[in-house]
Amino acid sequence: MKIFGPKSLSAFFYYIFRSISIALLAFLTYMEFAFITNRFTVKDSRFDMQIPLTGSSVQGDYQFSDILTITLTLIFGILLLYLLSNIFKALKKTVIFNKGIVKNLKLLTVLNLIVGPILYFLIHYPIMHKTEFRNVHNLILLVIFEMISLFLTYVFQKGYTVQSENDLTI
Amino acid sequence: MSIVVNLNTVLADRNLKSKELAEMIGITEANLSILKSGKAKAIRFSTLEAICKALDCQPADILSYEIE
Repeated sequence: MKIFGPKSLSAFFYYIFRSISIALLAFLTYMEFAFITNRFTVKDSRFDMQIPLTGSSVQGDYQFSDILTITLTLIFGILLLYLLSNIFKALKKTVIFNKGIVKNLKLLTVLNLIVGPILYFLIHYPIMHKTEFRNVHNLILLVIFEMISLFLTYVFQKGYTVQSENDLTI
Repeated sequence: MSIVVNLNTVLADRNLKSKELAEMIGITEANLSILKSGKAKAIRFSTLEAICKALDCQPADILSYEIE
């Protein structure tokens, strides 16, 4: 199976990541709508929200900090998956060294380098008021992703320059 | 760039249009325009050979070096 170009593994991953990001966005919208319109039950200080068409439910502590954490984490996840889908969309083109992939890889680097750690510390201390430094593996994973995307950005930027020069060889 | 493409002068001398030359040497008009405008990063020997053959000239008639 082809890795790049139309009808390739990149195209498959584009559809997968784009579908998941849209599904998560729909889920987030429904959840926020349900919280605003009181479409959930509260038992022992825990909320229980039915998810339509799936037969499952979402449960958690009925506190503003928990709901805010879920919302922020989902927004971060949606952005991450949307950017990944954009990267695979650029990879399914015939010419893989293009401006689109460089732009989206830069955004992915910023998301993992700046937004991710800020969100992590924001959720950990001011929102959830945790006293211990736990779940550090999430932060380590973000830094690893950031390093990979940073190097990939420069690889594709160099590739784009070489591609442009090759295109301008008459 | 200090390499100047004098293709317009040679074309005018031969009373030829860019479109005709592009057809003769087998490249697109867009690429010929890039070459004439000096935006090209490099020129293949095969393209240079085709231009020289079509215009009955030497590479030096088309390309010249100018100190910036």
